[in-house]
Amino acid sequence: MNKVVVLGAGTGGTIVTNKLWKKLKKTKQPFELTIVDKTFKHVYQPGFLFTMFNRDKTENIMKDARKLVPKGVKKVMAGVIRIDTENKIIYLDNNETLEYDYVVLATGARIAPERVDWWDDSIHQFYTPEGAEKLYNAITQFEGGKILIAIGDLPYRCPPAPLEAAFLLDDYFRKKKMRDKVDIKFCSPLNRAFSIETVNTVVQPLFKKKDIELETYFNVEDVDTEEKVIYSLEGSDDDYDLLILVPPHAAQPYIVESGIAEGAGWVPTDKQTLEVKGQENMWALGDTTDIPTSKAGSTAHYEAPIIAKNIYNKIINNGKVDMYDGHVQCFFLTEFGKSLFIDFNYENPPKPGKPARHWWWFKQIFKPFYFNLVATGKV
Amino acid sequence: MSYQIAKTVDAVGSFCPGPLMELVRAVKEAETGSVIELLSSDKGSVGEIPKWCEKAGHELLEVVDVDDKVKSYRIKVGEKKKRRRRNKE
Repeated sequence: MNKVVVLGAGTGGTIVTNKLWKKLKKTKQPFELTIVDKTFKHVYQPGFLFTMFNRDKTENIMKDARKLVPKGVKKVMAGVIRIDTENKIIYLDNNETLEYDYVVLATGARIAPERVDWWDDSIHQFYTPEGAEKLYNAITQFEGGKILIAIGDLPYRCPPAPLEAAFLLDDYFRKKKMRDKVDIKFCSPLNRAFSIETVNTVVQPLFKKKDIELETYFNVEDVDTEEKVIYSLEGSDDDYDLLILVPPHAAQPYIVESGIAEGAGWVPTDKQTLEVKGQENMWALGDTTDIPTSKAGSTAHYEAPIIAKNIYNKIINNGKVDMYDGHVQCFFLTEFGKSLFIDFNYENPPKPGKPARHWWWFKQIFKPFYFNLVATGKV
Repeated sequence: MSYQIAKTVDAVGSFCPGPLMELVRAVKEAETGSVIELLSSDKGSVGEIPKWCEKAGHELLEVVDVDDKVKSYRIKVGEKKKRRRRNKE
C-alpha cells in the first residue's frame, strides 16, 4: 500500500491532490491518499483586492476544500505539529499520527507580524479576510491626507498586490471625487516600482500619470505608529495618515520544528524537481517553498502536475523525473476596469503589453473558473 | 581575497520578485560581517546590486562570472543601522 499524504488544502494542496488521485489510479497499485488541513477553509486570495473595496464578499471567496477533492481521498481535519522525517510519521494536533511513504508540503505562507517588534493593529493589511474588511472601513471613513503603501517584510505573497492596491485606491478616490484630498505614496524596496523590468516599464509611468508618488530603495525597518512615521533600512523616513503594509510572512511552524528549514521556515526546495532538499520522498509547492519565484496561486497551479508526475514516476519506478520550468501567469490590475496579463518562466521574462479591458473581464470570470476547474485539478 | 561564504542565494531565473528582493531578504536575516553569495542571471543585477549595497551600507566584495549567463555577487553584510526614531522633545 502506497501511503501518500498532502499537507494543506489551499491552492497547491487541492490541485496536487486532484492530480495525484488521477495519477495514482493509473499505477494500478493499492494506495491511500490523504489530505490534511486545520480548517479546510479554501480562500481565493486574489479576492482580497475586491473585498477591501467591498466589490466582493468574504463568504464568496471561500469554499470548503473537502468539496474540491475526490470522494475517495481521506480528509483529516487537524493541524500538523511535527514530521518525524526519519520514520516518516506526521504528528497531528488531534493526538493522531499519520504514516506516509510520500508527502507533499502545501501548507503555504501565514501572516507573521510577530516576526517584527513594531507591528500593531493600527497598521492596515489586506492579506487576510478580516484585514481586507477592516481596511474597507478605514478607506470609506478616510476624509483626506496621505496613504502610504509599503512592503513590511520579504518575501511576501503576490508581488503585484501592493501596487494593484495603490492603483485601485487612486481609482476609488477619483470616483468618489476626493482624489485632490488624498495623497497616495508607494514605497518600493527596489530601485523601481515593480521587480520585473519589462512590467515596470508599463507600471512606473502609470504611477506618474495617476499622481501616485514613488519612493525607491525603501525596505521597512521600523514604524512608530504613535507618531505615524515609517523608517527604512536605507535611512529614510516618512509621515502618513493611513498606513497599508504588506505584513511579514512565514511558513508554518511545524516545518522548523521538524528540522526541515530554519528561520521563517521557507522549505528548501529544488526549483525544478520540487523535491525538498535533504529529505526523502518529500516535495513542496506553492507559497511554502524557498524557490526564487512569485508566491502566488499560479505558481502552485503549474507546480502541482510536476509533483503528481514525480510521485507517480517514483511509485512505478520508471526512472523519470519531471521538471518545473518556472511558469507563472497572473493578472495585474491597474484600475477598476483594466488589467495587464503577465506570463513568464525561469528563462523568459514577461511581455505585458498595455493595460486592457479584456484582461479585467478575464479576471472577473476567473473566480468561478478557479473554483470549478483550477482548484479541482481539471485544468 | 579571503572570506567564507555563509549563505548562497540562488536567484538564477528569478524574475519575480527578482534577485535584489532575494538579496535584501537574505541580508535582513544575516549576521553583520558575514558574506552572502547571490547567483543571478538578470542583467539588471549588474547595476542595481552595487547601487543597493552602497545605499544600504553593505560591501560588494567582488563579482565573479560563473558562466556566460550567471554572475556570483559576494556581499559582506554591513552593520545594521540603528533605529533612528525621531526625537519627540
